[in-house]
Amino acid sequence: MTAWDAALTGLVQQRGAALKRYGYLLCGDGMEAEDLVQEALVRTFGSRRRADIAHVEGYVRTVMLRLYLDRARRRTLRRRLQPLAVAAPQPDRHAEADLRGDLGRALGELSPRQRACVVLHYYVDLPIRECAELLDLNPGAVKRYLHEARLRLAERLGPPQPAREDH
Amino acid sequence: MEPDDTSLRDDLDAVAAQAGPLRLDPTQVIGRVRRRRRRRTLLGATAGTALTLLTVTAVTAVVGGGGRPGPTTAGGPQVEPSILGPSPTGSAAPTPSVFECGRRLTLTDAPSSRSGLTMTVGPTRFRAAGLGPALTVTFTASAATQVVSSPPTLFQVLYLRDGTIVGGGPMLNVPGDPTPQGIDAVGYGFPVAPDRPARFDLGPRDRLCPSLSWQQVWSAPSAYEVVVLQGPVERGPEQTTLGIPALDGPLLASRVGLSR
Repeated sequence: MTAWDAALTGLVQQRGAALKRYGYLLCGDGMEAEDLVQEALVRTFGSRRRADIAHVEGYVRTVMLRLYLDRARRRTLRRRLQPLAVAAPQPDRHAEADLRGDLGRALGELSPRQRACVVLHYYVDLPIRECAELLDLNPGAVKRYLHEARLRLAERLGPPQPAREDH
Repeated sequence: MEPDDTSLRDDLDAVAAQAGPLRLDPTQVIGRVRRRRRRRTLLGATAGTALTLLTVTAVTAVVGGGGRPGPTTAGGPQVEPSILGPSPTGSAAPTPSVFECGRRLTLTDAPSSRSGLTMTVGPTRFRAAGLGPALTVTFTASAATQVVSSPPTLFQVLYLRDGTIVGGGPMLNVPGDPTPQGIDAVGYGFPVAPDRPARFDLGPRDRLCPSLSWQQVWSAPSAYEVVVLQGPVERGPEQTTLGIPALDGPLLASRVGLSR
């Protein structure tokens, strides 16, 4: 087994779930999150330049972010070019959602960049400057996206509610 | 009103936890990575091969193929001392590893047999006073195999006098020309077996270095030697590949004295 084989296997076994959670927050879909992880692994390890295995998880996360933004951009473009092809509203995957499900649905109503800023800053805990570098934005733009995202989330989620008891 | 940061972080953690475990088989991903790497290597190699072929074509056009008599072969003036004199490789300056007129041929790793394949150059036959000899090469093998090589008319031949290159080709540069060399290795193939040797006529090999003529050569043929070179021998399960000979690489070589 070569060094990259072992690194890839170790990464999937030890950090696979964390990568999927990151992808899930970005795209909001379990299957797509797995696809993001897989595609990012292939692209990262498929490049011989990425020899620094110590930082490979960072590479994978960066590729996942770019893949997500790229796919979101394509979907937006497709919707604009094919208005008649836009399907009827999808069944609500979060119909039975609790507070967390509401947040998941609210995240889906953010723009891809707003959502990426929220995930990077509030979930990955990256400072504004690093979010800006990853997203090729200036820090001011990241702050603006975060502000807009928080306002929108507050509109959707409303004031904090007590946890609901399931029966 | 904006949601509380701490609450948002907690809620994001909770949403992320709904993702569940990653159901990904690393071996499948490794397979995809390998295919991607192969594809990238192939693309790079294809570009490199195209560049090499262009170079080889240009070099062959300049140097002239083994099948074409060179313009200096007939009735040339007397041999210049520099051609047959001491090898330029004896100087302190580094010399390129190309087959070059006037260069002393020093072969450190050039047996006539490799990997069960033996190459023997046959006795030379006189054709005409102004032409090079008729040359044949015979391959024998310890086990049946399919040999892949360049066509026999492009086998590397060198004429030597006192160990110094005085003619041959198709890879042969004029003195001082460091242009890289190569042979358009068309996938020529032939079978060979212990009871079935393969014999080839190498075609006209008339090229001599500047200032040397075949009349001069034939006036004292015993002073000259013919060497046929092949590159490294790679023995595979189904075929044996003869590479393009390079001066600083392993070679398959066979020598014979020039005779009428």
